[in-house]
Amino acid sequence: MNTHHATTHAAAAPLLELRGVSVSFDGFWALNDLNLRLVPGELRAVIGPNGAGKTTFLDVITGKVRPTKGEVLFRGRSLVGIAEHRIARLGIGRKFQTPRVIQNLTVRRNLELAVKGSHDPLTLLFGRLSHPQRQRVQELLAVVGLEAHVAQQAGSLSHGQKQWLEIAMLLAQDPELLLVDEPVAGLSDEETELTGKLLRSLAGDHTVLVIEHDMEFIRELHAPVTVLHEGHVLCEGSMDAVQSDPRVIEVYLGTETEGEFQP
Amino acid sequence: MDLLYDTLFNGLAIGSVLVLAALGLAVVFGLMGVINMAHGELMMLGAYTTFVVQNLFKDGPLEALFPIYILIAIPVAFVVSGLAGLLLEKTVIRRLYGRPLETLLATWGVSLILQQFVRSVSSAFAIGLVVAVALGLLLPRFTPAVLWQRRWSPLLGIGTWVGSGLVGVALASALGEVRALDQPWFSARNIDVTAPQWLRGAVDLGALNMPTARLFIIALTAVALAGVIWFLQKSVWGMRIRAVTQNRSMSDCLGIPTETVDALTFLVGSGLAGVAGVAVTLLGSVGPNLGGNYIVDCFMVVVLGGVGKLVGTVVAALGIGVLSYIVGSGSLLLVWPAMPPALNELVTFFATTSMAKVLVFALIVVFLQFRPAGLFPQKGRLVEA
Amino acid sequence: MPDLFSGRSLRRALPWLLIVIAALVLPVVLPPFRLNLLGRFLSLGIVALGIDLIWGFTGLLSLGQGIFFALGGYALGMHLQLSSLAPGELPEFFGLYGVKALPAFWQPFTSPLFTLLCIWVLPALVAGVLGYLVFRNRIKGVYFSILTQAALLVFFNFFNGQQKLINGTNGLKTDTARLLGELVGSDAMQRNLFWLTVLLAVGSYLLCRWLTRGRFGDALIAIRDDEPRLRFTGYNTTVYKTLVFAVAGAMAGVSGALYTVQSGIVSPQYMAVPFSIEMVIWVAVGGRGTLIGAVLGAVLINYAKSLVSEALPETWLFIQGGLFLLVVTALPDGLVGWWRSGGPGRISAMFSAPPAVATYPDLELDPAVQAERAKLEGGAQ
Repeated sequence: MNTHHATTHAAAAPLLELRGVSVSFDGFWALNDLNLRLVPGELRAVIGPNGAGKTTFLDVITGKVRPTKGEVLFRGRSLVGIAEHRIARLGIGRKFQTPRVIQNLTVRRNLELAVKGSHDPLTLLFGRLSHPQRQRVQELLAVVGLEAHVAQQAGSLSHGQKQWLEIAMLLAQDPELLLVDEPVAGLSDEETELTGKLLRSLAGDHTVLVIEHDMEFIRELHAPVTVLHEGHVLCEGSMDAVQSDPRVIEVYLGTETEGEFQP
Repeated sequence: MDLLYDTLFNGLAIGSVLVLAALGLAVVFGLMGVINMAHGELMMLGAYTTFVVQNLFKDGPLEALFPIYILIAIPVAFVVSGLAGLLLEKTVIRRLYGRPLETLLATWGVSLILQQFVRSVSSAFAIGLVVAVALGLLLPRFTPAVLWQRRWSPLLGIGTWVGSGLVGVALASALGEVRALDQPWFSARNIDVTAPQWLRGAVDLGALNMPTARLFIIALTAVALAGVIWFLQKSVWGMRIRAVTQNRSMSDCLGIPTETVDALTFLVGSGLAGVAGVAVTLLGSVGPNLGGNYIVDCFMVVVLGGVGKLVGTVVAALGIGVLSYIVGSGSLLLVWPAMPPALNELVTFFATTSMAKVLVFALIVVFLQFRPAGLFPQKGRLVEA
Repeated sequence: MPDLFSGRSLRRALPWLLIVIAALVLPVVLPPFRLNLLGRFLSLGIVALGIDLIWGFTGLLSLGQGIFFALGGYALGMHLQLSSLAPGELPEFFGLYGVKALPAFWQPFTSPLFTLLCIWVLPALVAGVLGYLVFRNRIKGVYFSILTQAALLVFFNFFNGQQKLINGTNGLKTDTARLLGELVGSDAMQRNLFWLTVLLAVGSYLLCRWLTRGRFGDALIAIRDDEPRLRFTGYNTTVYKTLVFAVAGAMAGVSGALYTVQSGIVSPQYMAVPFSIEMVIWVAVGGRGTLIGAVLGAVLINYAKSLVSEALPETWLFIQGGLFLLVVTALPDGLVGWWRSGGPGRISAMFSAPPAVATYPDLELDPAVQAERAKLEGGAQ
């Protein structure tokens, strides 16, 4: 972590803060006293072995799972108990592990559904997309290179294209905080590189949190890394620092965790 | 105090029929996630099997065994309904795993066919049906192989079945000219099963009069329940069934024959429906519409109890039984004769069997508002997956 | 000016032209009995449209549309019971059960205006409340289906058991009542009702089309395909589902009212469990998610039912059961879906030579390749 980052961290009020968050599934602690702060404009990578609680961690932020203990604060406001769609409207966007696009709609219509604006039924029935909204859709199509596929059903896209369409939908929402779960799973090297570039360019204007398994990709992000283990933050730091941390080596390579497999 | 025992006993009696009826459904729905709308018709098959067994023992060489025919009818009904269920699984449900709404519609179609089947079946009908199925299965074997490699071969397949069906219908209607063959086996009328003497009495315990038929059903339910629990918890195949429920692909990798497990689960669930059918014959006359009277109740029991939990099914069924009896018999009025007139009117309003159902179902819907996953929710992350 | 009577515009206008012609010609040509049947089946097409809206587009399989259908029917039935009475008189059946005064909830139905509103507003409200309670708890899929079926049974038992309130199992007859001074059962009145049914069916179709065409329709499809995704995008899907369920309920109410006056009675049988599942199969056979398929399926199957029931009543349940199986296993998109996806072409292709293929067959089928080719061709022009 460079000094510039360190100073901004200390100074700025956090955009997202998790304080002592624990989640219990029937006695199994998926998250255990998790603490994390993200400042505005930050790009953060989260890694961890299988079953470390990475997906539950996103579920807690986006309102899918209610924490058993602890607080989740977004711009100082608690998110606990708020419905998913309200959290999304507050400015938190999420990309799922497996690409989730609306299979039976065209690429353009997928984006038009996601584009920022009122999402209430009456607007959708009686209102039309404004000029800036349509322009934004066109822009995003260009950003993710799907212009040639606008009229194609999203279900017929390739895996990589679906990943990108979902990222475009996320951007169309224009969230302040982007939670990206395994964005490069199943992508080619070239696509992976482009995705990395895209995420880096988003940081600054947006706050981005990336969960990934691909260590090379994380390294290319040049972002501070948080390591999760058994629902707890094991350590934080630059990729190099984290990789040489003996505790990290132990949880990734050690035999202890092999029994920790979670369905 | 007598009233309490009376309520408990009658509620238990109603509830145990529900347990028995819902048990098979709980196995099939809870473990496989299959919605079988034909479950009620499998019960009906069990009831009709009892009728047939009873007729076999009524007179002739087996007459001496008439008092215990019901005990013989139970395993026979299990096998008949179980095999019918197996056939259903192999031909229809197998193709629809993972598509519950489609399964629901398809099994509803099967239930309609089964209902009409018991109404219409006569010797002529049965011969026609057997011939049609045999032709449909055998004809492709005797047509030249080249015909099956053409682009229009799929149509030939459909054509074969349509043709065999028509042959069957023609044969059945030709045979129908013979009076003896045209006689329907059961017809659309309700049938009455005569219970053996010992099931027609009652055990008199002072104030409480317990009909033996009810006691028999309660005992049968307990035995069936114990059997299912033993099968699922202790037997090898039960363990395999539970393994497949929890993680199908992992079970596959471990060498568990998952398709056989599916078939077996379905067979057991359907067989239990047959046993429930035997019990139902003791409560009154039964007809082709028997299934329709039970299916919605069974699903409510399973949903209220919590899908995938046998204990939930039992508690929910007994709870519904007791509550239905309390409301339906208006026995609150007996306990509290001096209740305010408005309340009195309300209790009287719901004091019929069908109005009790209105209230109980409405209460269940309200209850599900607070506990959407039922009394005993499936725990852990399994639900999410 | 583009040629108005060729190609696309003709193909688009043709169905409407046929409908207009049919609506004008059939009442004159068909004997009253057949016309009445057609009118009844067309009114069933309206409830089927509602089911297509909630099931075909939104993925909610309701097995309880009979509730709303019957509520609409009862609203109109009650009005017709009252409309031809002298002041102070009670509908006949009340006398049988010794009821001396009109129950309070009957009073407003003396007003035609209230009744007209009630026919669709009441079912919509009931559907809205029921839907909200269920959707709020994220009950969906088969659980939703089972609960709607249970609700149906509740309503059925209630209406069936209440002789003193609504004549219980006997239902309410409408044939001998007078509407606007004319006997409801008369041929002239029935012809007018047929036209009204055509009008309302077309109106309902247009309403559904408007609902499903734009972004609102896209949202419904998104709810069907991946509801959590839409929720995380900031949509309150509960509101959408409640709204669309209420609309379908309103349509079922209108349908039930039209069906009641054309068949002369409304009874708890309209809330029977099998009838509501039958409605679903009309939509499935016609083709879910196609709208027109719902109407087509309702009319076709009911016509088939009446024909078969006249000739071979025993076989109808076999045929109906077979239809359920067929449509689920072999014809998942229904007749209209099969037609639109080139079904007839596939049949005829079975008898012709294999089509000429420019490259590997796999590539021909790949949409990405097609898009690329289209781009290349577009660039060359």
